[in-house]
Amino acid sequence: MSQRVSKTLVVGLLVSALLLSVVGIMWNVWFEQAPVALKQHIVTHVQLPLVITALLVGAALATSGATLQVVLRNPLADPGIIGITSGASLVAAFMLLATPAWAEPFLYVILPASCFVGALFTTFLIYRLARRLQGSVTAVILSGIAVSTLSGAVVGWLYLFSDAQSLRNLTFWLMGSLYQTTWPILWVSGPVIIVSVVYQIRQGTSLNKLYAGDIAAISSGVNVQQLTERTLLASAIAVGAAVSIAGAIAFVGLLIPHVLRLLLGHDNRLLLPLSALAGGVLLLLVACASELTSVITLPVSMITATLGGPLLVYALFKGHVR
Amino acid sequence: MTNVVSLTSIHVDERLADITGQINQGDCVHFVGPNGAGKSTLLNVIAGITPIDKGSCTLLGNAIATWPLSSLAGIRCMLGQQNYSAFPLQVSEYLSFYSTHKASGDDVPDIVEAALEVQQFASKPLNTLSGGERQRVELCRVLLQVWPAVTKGAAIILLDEPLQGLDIRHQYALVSLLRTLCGRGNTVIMSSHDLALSANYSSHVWLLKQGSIIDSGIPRHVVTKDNLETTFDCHFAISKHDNFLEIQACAPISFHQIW
Repeated sequence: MSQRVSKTLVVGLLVSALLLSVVGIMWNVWFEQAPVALKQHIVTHVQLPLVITALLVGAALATSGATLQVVLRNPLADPGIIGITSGASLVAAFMLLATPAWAEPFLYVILPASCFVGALFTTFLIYRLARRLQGSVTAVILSGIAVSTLSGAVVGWLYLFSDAQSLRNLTFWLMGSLYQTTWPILWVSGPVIIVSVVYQIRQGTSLNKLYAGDIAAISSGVNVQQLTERTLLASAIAVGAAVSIAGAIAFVGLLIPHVLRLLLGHDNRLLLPLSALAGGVLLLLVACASELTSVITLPVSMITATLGGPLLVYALFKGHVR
Repeated sequence: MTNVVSLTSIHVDERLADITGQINQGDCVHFVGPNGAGKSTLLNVIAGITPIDKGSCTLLGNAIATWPLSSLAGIRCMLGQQNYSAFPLQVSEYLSFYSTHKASGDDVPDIVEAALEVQQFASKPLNTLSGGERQRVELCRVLLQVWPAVTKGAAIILLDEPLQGLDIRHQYALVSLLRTLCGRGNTVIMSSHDLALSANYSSHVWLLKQGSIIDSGIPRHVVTKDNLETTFDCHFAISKHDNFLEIQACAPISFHQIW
């Protein structure tokens, strides 16, 4: 059927885009005029972490976006829009300036950890709110706006009181960047993201049963409260880890699942793994574009928001959200 | 006759008070009563969704709380009152998520299709259907969930106001379908606001008011002028034509002194 054809087409397109952009990123270095040892060093310490970061972060954000949309029964849910990333970067930004001078060597541990805490805390807040205001699409979005606004205000204050180096760090958390990772950080965040993304993907069958509401899901054998809590926790962990290695990257969690839903329908058994793949590929393409135009380093969020912003407006116009 | 549901002085805080009753295999039980009488809560208790504060509810001899959700899912289904999905899912895809009767899933059994006629909008998104069309899809979803049990005559079908939104033709098609399924040994328990339809198409009627049972039993004995007037606080006229009960309610509230 056409469903099958489009599925094959989407997978084929994604895999070829993945290969092409990896080649694109590596190409640049391999044909530079430089000693082989240096080129090897650049590949293993800059290019490879870049590729892995893009794949991990994209997969984490897109899969979590898809999960959040189903669990919160809200097609507009996205780790950014509902405030998880703002919450995470708020705590990180705060720690960046609150950390005393003697603790600064440990910042590379403190920042990811505080991101994590911020993501978990915000998710908990949103979960409580969503439970209290059952089924209200606007409540969750409004709470996201509240957290983002608060985060924006605090970051504004932090700008006033920070020095040049802190400012640069702050910008990283707010705009997102795929270039800040190092192997030690990847060794920690990588497995965390992989486990939490795979966990979400494995819940596809159960998540499908949430579409008809709580009673239908329980009646067809799903422990709704447990599923909700565990998948929310998994997506918060994935997003927390993603923000901790790449800062706040906007709209991937909205953009990718939304486009895939239009192309392939709403089956989570298909949607979740393909969101992971497509999210990774999207960020890889951004990284590749940024590598090949090497004059400037494009801020990731700038590109994803350029793509995602119009999509959000389109979704609102089409009445996909009521 | 196999006992399917057995309720012993069920209490649910502020909803149900001292409900006792038996439902046997093949019964078609209709819960009838005013708004807030506890019909939905009682259905949810039997479905194992709402916990009981006092009393006991057993399903096929075992306390409902001891049933694993996954085993329950194979033999009993529950239609809740309308809960609109925020996603524009295609009807056939939606049904396939809940269907257990075939791997392909989007095949609606002939007898269900004959009553509900959902195939005509199989490719439409859910959010473009009218309220009644949507209700037919929901009914189909619920039946597909337990269809293997239905074909064996072992299903327990719980429906909260299944007639809501249906046109008159589909109302009668549905109640006839349910009676046919009961004839095969399945058990149907549903709530309804259509007294005449319940009186004529059920095997048992339970009259509920303020969380208690006013009367229960076969319709001929339960659907009486006195019982209905006690339950609904308004006047009724009941007549019988060709073995078919006709029920007329008279304007219950006078507005003269208010306005």
